Amino acid sequence: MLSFIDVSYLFFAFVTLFFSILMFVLYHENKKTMHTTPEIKGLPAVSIIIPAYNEEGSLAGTIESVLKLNYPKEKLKIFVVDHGSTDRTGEIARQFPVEVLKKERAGRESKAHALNYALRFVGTEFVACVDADSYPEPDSLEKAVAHFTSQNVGAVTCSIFVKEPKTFIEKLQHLEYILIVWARKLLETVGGVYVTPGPLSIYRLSALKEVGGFDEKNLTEDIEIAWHLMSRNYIIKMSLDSIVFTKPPSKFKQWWKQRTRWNVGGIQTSLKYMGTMFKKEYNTLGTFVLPFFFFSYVISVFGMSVFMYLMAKGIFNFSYVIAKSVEFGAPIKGPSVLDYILLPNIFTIFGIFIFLLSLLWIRISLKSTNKKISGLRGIAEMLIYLSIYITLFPFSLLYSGIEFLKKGVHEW
Amino acid sequence: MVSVFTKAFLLSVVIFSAGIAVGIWLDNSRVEDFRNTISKEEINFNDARLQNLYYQTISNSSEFCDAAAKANVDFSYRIFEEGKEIDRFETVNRFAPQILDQKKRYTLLQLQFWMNSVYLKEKCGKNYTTLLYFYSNNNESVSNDQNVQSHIILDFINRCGPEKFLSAPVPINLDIGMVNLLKEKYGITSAPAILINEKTLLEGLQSKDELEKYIEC
Repeated sequence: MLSFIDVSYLFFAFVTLFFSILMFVLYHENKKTMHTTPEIKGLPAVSIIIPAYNEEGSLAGTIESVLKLNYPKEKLKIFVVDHGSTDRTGEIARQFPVEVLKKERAGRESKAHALNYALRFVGTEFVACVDADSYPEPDSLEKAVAHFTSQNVGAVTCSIFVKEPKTFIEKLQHLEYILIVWARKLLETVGGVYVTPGPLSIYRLSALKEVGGFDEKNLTEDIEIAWHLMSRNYIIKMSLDSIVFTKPPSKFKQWWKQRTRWNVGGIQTSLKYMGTMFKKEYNTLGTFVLPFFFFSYVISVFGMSVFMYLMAKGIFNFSYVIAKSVEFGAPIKGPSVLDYILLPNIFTIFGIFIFLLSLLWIRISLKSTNKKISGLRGIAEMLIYLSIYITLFPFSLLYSGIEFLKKGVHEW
Repeated sequence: MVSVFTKAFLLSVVIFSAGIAVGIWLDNSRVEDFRNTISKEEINFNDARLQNLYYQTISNSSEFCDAAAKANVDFSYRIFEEGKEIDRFETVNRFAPQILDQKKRYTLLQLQFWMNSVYLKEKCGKNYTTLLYFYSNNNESVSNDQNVQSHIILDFINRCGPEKFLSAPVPINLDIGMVNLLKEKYGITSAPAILINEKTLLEGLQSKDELEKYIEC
């Protein structure tokens, strides 16, 4: 009685259920320590690198935020890398008490080139990287460095939230970022922080030097560096109470471009570290992060294929019946959605259950990150996020995979 | 100490199994509902046949025709709708293959109803159209055509009323002896197919205009 599509759906439901429950179990076991910041004896010296390429619109705000950090000024050194900007980026940076490093931009040089260039000038034990369109909260740095509790902590990431979401897609990303922050914090408990994002991440300089700095050929140097550190058995921590705001893409086209870049970088990194798959000597990179990435690729594309097949079949059948009804003089009747609601079966049970789990997950994430989404508009955004926004991810992944195969890495 | 992954896996297995169990329970409870519905209809039909027998053997012929025709019409109101209900349940059913046995029972009931309608038409000189609608529920390539065809037939049922038009849907793929006999006798090779007044066989999707040539409301 079960067709291939039925079995696929049930498999997909089980996998989704497993990962949802894994997050709930992690939450249940760690909820009391999520907001704990370790005590630290004396703050260490930190260098902050702000790589900037044509960032005249946002750079001043970023530097001002960094200058407002609650951190002893004598222990802070701020570098702004003017990476071949053709606008007023350099001029703006020089108006602040920071060291401006001028670097020519040769060809398709990436942010990793700018970061590696700045690392040559860093003389402190810790180095923080801040994107030029991001705004750390005053207490973010001191809370983050406190997480370097042992020599094997290679990096600490922070909570990234959307700065003043206005457009619809910004509001959807606002919710997405909240969910990511919370999930990342929970993944930290199993050594699964797989990225040290650009808006604010702090690294141990010796660890960075050990792995040779950022990979200049990788589109997502923030994913690659995290995996590289993990492959050398460094731990990556997440400081939930270190908050940084960032400006996400405000238009769909920009969003799509950003996601394509992230996905291509993810694929690139996954392939680079393929050799660590299932190998215990690479710790959680081999036993969890990489398998998780590959599994999510397969599941996403597979789930999307099944979904597309069912959608295409449904649209074809509906159109065919309507056309034939007109041609043969039959009363026109569309498919009855009520049938599926009034006649629940195994698919509706799992569909509704997973949807309710997602709503509960959103509620917990909002509560845990002290965020609120209220009113009818908030509820509508939440429903659109769950029903439409996340269904775009597999399409983006598939598109990115095709682009990666077509162009390789060098044309990005 | 059990790892979080093991815990999550075990919990997932428990919840997933519970979901499957609920799905099985739902499918089985629906099959049970059918069984009850069909049993009731079988009782009603046997009751009607017994009344027919009484009027035929003990009472007079005119009383027999009126009473039998009324019982047949009452039955026809329910039989097509309930047939559609079974098809809908069959579509969502995943874990109760015994639904096919119930469908066979229902098909036999519908064929008895059709035979009774044919008998009454001849015995009592009634002027109504009888129609058997043959369809296949395991051939996806014709399911859209069948969907359109059943809408057209339903439209005739609604427009003509059971005094003028009596029809029964018959699945051709359930390996029922009587259905096989009809297929052989009338040379039915594919679905959808329509047998009108036990004479005219139309295969393939038939338009409303085409059927109006044979059905008088």
